[in-house]
Amino acid sequence: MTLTQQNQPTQASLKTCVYALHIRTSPQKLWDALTDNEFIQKYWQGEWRFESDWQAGSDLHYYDKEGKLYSIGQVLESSPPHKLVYTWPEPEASRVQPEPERLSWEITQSGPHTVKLTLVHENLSDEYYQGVSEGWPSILSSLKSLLENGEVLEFYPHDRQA
Amino acid sequence: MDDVFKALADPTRRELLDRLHDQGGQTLNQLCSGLDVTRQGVSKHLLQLEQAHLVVTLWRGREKRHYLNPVPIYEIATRWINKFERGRLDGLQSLKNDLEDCSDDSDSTKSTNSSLT
Repeated sequence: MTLTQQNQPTQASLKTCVYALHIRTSPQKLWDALTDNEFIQKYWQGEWRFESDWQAGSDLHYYDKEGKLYSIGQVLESSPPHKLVYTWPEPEASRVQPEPERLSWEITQSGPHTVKLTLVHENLSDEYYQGVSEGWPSILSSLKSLLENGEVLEFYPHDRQA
Repeated sequence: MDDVFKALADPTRRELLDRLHDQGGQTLNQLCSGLDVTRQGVSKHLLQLEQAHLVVTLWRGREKRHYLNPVPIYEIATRWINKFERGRLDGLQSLKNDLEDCSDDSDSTKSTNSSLT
């Protein structure tokens, strides 16, 4: 067995992060926020750029903040305005993983003017778990603030490192 | 936000959150082990945490798995800690940990230490 194989994470060691929050908006507006390439960039504070037509089976291109193509994922499920599932693979050269990271977004009406958003981020290796688990709350808060008040939240310097 | 503070104001519920922070996706049975509380009691505590959105559950087959949702705690932190204070507070926490040489630091505190060095 080579060293690379020994270090390869097994399916069982991969982690899952779950986030939920209520946003004062409509399911359709939230869906649009998750699938509008320009809008996504706003609450990601320009850290990442996503490009896709968000149809099931379509490719999803990830560009880093320098505008370089980072990796290509795939939209696995697209049921507007309720469920969106896509992969976010690590670049092949850097790591081999049995399953690519997978993001599942679920939108449910939780009140007359409120929507519950649940995000499940699966297949995270230990290497990325810490950064990802610390990073999502600020991105989700930024999304909430943008939808409710039209304001983008600034990230803490600490979050940017994560 | 009242729900969050009420949910956090109990040592057993904080213990449950600590356990889910260490390992997400645990079942009720896993969470009961080693706790001096009845299964029914743990179930009730989990329900309260769920109602405060501090815990989110997912069904995986026939198993109900529990996950810590850090978003409400993040919202509390950003409400009273501004972005300029955060770096200084991280520094103070790091100093405290170094001086006390805590061996049971949380993971997030460890990462703060390493990011400052």
